[in-house]
Amino acid sequence: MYGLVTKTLLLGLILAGWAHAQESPLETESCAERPVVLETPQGLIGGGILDYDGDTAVFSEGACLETTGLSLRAPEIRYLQAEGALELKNLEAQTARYRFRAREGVVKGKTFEARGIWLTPCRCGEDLLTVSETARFNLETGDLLLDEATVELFHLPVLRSEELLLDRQTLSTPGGLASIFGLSQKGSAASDSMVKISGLLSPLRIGYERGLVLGVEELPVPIVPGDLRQGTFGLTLIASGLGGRFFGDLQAEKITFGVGMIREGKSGSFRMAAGQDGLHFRSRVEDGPLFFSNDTDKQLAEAGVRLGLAWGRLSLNPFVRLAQEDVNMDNPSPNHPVVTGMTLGAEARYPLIHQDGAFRFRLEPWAVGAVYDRESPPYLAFGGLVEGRYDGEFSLRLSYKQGWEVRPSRFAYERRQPTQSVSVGLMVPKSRWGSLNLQASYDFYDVQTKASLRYGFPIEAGELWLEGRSRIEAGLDWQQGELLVGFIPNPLDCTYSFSLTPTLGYDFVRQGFSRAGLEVRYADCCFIWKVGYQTVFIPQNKDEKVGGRFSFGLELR
Amino acid sequence: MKGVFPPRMVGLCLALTAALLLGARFAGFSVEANGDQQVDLATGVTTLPRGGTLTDNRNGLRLVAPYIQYKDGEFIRARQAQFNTGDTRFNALELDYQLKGETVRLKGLTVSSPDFSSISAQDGLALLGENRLVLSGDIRSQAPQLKAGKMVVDTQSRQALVIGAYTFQDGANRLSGNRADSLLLLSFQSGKTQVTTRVAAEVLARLRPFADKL
Repeated sequence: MYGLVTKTLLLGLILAGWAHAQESPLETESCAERPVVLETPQGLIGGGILDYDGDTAVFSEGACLETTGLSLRAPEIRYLQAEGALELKNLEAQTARYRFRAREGVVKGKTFEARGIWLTPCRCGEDLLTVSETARFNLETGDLLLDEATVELFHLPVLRSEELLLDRQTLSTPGGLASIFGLSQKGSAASDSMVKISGLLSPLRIGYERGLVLGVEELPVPIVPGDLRQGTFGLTLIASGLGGRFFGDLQAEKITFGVGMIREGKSGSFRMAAGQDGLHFRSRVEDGPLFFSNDTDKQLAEAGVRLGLAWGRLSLNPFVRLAQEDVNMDNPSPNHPVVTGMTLGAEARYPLIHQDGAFRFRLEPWAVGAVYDRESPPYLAFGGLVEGRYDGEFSLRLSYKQGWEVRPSRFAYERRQPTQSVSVGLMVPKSRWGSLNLQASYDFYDVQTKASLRYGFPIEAGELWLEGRSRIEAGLDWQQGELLVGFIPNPLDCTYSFSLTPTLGYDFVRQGFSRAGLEVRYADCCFIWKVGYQTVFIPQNKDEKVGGRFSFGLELR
Repeated sequence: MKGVFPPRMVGLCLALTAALLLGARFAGFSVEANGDQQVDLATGVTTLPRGGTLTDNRNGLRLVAPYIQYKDGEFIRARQAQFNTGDTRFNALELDYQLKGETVRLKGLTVSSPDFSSISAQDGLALLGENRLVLSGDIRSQAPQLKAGKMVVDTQSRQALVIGAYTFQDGANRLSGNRADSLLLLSFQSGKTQVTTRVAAEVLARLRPFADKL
């Protein structure tokens, strides 16, 4: 299993490199600017010198070819007029993110066939390399078929694939493969209250938290080996808390295995965790309106149908559900009793939206009703949301929501707990004066005020930022008064360079440092290596615990 | 798919060659004036102020113009002149044919023939003794569409040197040179067009100096 994981991950890096290549223009002079240029239906051919003997046009001295999805350079390009074919030898393509070479290639009709392929996403060297005997590139569809491909990491073959078919959508959709493999800018698994480290290779989990964490989460694996067009399933395999027993934490050691798939409106997922406290299962299957799920931690087993109906603005979701679940789903325990039964209900929403230029107003009343098969009385909850927005040079949002329920529901599924809150948000985008983000809310039920204000100031090397977070509960009881300061360096551009991303938090309520974090990034020819450590000294909410977390990340440059 | 340089290119060269042969042959001609013929006895220059037609029946050539001036054995000058030789027709806003120096200077020149629609240029200079034709300024032809700034044709070796930026368009194919010092040598041999941008020093020495004469 480890081999498959490694191979798929590396393949992803290669493919992501190709995806970058599709998006990036040539760095050097464009082919159309060469001294002699021939535009043909097969593409544009340029060069320093042209020789034509009545049958074959030969472009040399920096010959180049530009055609749909391809930009190539070669010492010589021959245009065989009678066959309408282009012959290239020792061709190469270089973009900002990827380098490609082939011993020879022929463009004929809508196909580019190349032999002796050498492909690397590395800016220099070839630490990560794909070699392939033949490749066929469909110029119309953008499909790329690699035959006998071998992926090499540090010159060691790590993957061999007889045939690998990739389509343009997989390759070049913004964030396509790159985001699947977590190579685009994306937050790590840090909880909301933590300062996020961006750009971690998201399926890969290497870190330290109550022991060593090692594995992959939601790693996309092709359903048909070597062909990403047929879809992928997500594979999860994580060992966590390794070595925790040496620190007296026997409960920490856990193995999690899971698979998940989304395809044509159907989805299914299964996850199993095994630890000292036993086995935990969680699964969910959805097919159109049908759903089935179970979760041993919540003593949940359910099956049901939920329809989505709409008449103009009105949306109606009638549902029927047969279930068993923990009486307290917010805080489940195997010792709790369970509730069982059938529910017949519906949820209705009627959003009214008025937009005038940058101003937007939204009013959305809703109601949920349910009846049960046994003694529980019917359930009814209703409420509404009012929101005003301005999205112009800055964004301002003001919203109020309130919800009531007539009596508690039997199950958590249909429950809409009473709410009453008002919130405001202000965002001023990046300018030379910096960026500003203010979020504040007041919850009438919890008598709790939350506010955060972040100011980012651009400097030459990156962005310096300051963020204040506060939470005040009933009786002006300050639960959180935290000031964070940090620095986000500019993305690494140079090979063999490194940068530091520090974060420091201070708790004014408890008078002490609340958290600290540091991420070191190092760029070599191919990768950006990231090593980060974040530690919480004073937890700021119930989800946080005192302790450190080590993380390791890898990102393709 | 069509060729980069289709057979019509050869026709273009033949027509340019014909232009020179025409000039060389236009020797003995009969005159048919539209109106008066004014003969200056002092200079020997004949002027047809309302134009007329000069015909060389032996070679099947005709020069028609609304204004013609000539002197036997020395020159023919005409405005809005129209030459006809078989299927090929030449138009020039101004024509100055020096019979002694064997040069023809043309302004606002257009050559047309059924083989190719036409080629035009602002200025033309035919050096009949040296078998050279120089075209300059806004050179254009139809099918294949040619746009160039300067061109020297050697009718003896059947070569044409295009100097400066140029474009050829034929159907979906379009060849262009985008430098001020771009060179393109077209050689028309046995029904084939050979093209190169790598012009040998000997060829360059033979053709390039003529470009400066116009």
